[in-house]
Amino acid sequence: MGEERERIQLRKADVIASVLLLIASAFFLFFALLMPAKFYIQATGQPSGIFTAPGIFPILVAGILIIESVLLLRTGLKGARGLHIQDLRQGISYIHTRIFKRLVIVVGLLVFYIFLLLGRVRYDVATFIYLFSTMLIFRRAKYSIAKIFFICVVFSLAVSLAFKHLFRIPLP
Amino acid sequence: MSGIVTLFSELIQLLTLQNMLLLLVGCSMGIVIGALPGLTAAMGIALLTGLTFGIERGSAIILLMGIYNGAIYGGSISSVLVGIPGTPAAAATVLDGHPLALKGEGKRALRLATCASFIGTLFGMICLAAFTPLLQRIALDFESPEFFLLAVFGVLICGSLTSEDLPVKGWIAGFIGLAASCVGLEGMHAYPRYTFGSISLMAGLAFIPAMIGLFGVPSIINILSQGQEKEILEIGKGRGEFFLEIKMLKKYLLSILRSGVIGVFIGTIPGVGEDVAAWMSYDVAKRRSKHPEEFGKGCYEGVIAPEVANNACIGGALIPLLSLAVPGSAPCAVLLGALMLHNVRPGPMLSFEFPNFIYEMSAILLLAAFATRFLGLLAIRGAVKVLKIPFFIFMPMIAVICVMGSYALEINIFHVYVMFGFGILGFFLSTMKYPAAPLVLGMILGPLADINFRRTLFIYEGSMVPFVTRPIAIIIDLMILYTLLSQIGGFGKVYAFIKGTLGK
Repeated sequence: MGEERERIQLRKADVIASVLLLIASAFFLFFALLMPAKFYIQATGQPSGIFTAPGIFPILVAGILIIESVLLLRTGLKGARGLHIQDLRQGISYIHTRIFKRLVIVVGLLVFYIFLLLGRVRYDVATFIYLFSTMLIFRRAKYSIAKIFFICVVFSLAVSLAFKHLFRIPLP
Repeated sequence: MSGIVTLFSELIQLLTLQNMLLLLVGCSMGIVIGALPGLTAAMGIALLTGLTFGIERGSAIILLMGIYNGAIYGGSISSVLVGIPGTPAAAATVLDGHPLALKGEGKRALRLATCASFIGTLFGMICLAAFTPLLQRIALDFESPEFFLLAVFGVLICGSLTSEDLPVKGWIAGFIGLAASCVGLEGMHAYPRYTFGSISLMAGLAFIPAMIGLFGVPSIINILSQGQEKEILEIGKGRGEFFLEIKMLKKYLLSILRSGVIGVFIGTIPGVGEDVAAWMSYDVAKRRSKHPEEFGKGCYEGVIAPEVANNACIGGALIPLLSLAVPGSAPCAVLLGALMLHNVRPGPMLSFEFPNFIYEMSAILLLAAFATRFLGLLAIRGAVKVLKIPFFIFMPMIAVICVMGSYALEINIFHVYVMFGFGILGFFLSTMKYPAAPLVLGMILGPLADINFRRTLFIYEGSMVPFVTRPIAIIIDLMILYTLLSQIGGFGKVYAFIKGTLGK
């Protein structure tokens, strides 16, 4: 019974995904159609015709993606047994679950590290801040803060030194 | 005969202290990566590829092959002791490996897995050395239409076989990969496609950061957000295990050979890989066994068969990679990127540019088999200690390595953004049961398909006829048709019925 419910949920998600994919494929196709159609062979100056145009392959890919999206939409609509207002409510209730909150924190910490710390703060300091904050938030009770602090300091310094001196890579 | 001589001469050249140390380091890292649930062989190779940029070609390949082989074996450690497969390739090993550990025979199960992995790798290595030159000769007859069709077939078959839900999801993932490969300056006229004026996008979306993101970030997000932790069983004790291994090898010789053949065969199918090989081999071993009822309750053959197959698959997956530039598995797709990074272009021309490269790879695989066997026996306890590191400490460290692995590729922070973007995409795709492997394969095969499609149209003045009239093209067309029809509507039902009847 649970499996069946999960399958129906998946099909509902497929309907939404297929619509998004259709829109994305249409954009992909639109920009492919805007690409120039005529090119010349550099060595001879002869026109190479429409067949070497840069948009040909993207048009083919976009066309197939549209067909695949329609196939997915059809399967999704068959298996979803209709979309109801309850589904929207269920989606909203998922936002309040513990897993979703933890998910937002994990992604948020990654965004903070990659987009805000890297390149702005010294690499070892940025890495330490990311590691310490992540481990602190998700830590298990038996691990003391001092132990986590020590692990983060050692790992940040080890990575920095390894990249700088062993791999000779300039740090961000 | 000359092949055997070349293989041995390559082997002797590789036997230096530096190479052996690199191999041991690579295998150890691979075993640890493989043993940790959530980290895969593809991810391990992807993470380290960026870091090998400054290292000499031979050393980099030795290190990466060590990781590949070690990771495929390492997956069995957590399969046996934790009951969670370390890598998808070791998923079938859980079924009998973990019950053996529960009975207190963990050490025996691990020794058998080590032995089976060793034999599997050797089997794959022999096939790699024997069949790649033959396929390479056939590949010399390939022209643009065949290369285009081969790329399309690779994406489709990979999508069909790796999708755990609908096959169309695998195909969609593959075509998203092909679409992503269109970004940047295209290969014929250097026209910027989908760059929207961004200089960073001119070089295209580098697939190594994309792969690190696709394989690494979803694991980090899933494991940390679900607060997963693991319970590890004791290894257990066992004496006189060496003689038991010999006895087992004799007893299950037929099963071992069959699993080796399955592993190599599945390996040669583009993008499919070790997990399918292990499952198929387990299934066949169970069906052919005199005591199928023992499977799933701690049967030795249930450990040996998938472990032989998943390691034999390594050699098998390298065959299309080296001869056609079409990776046989997800880790091989990453390995293709690594080879290109070191100016090795697999494909029909490889034998002209690097005449002994196939034998060099075979020799590395042979050495990796011995290194993994050696480490597998010695380092099980060490790997178990690493397994005991809790995820909340380990996963943030992996995130840092993902970031540095992407950055180190070209010392470019834009690659880190690409890695993150693909990581988020990978997370959504995995949540909705879209496989990542076809996407990666699509990104790799995209330029090959694009150039050869347009070249064919140009040479034959817009005619599509060569795609369906050339002899090799017809064979690939039939394979594509079979892949599509076997998954669609009524034909799918007929196919399933025939498959079921044959199975009985």
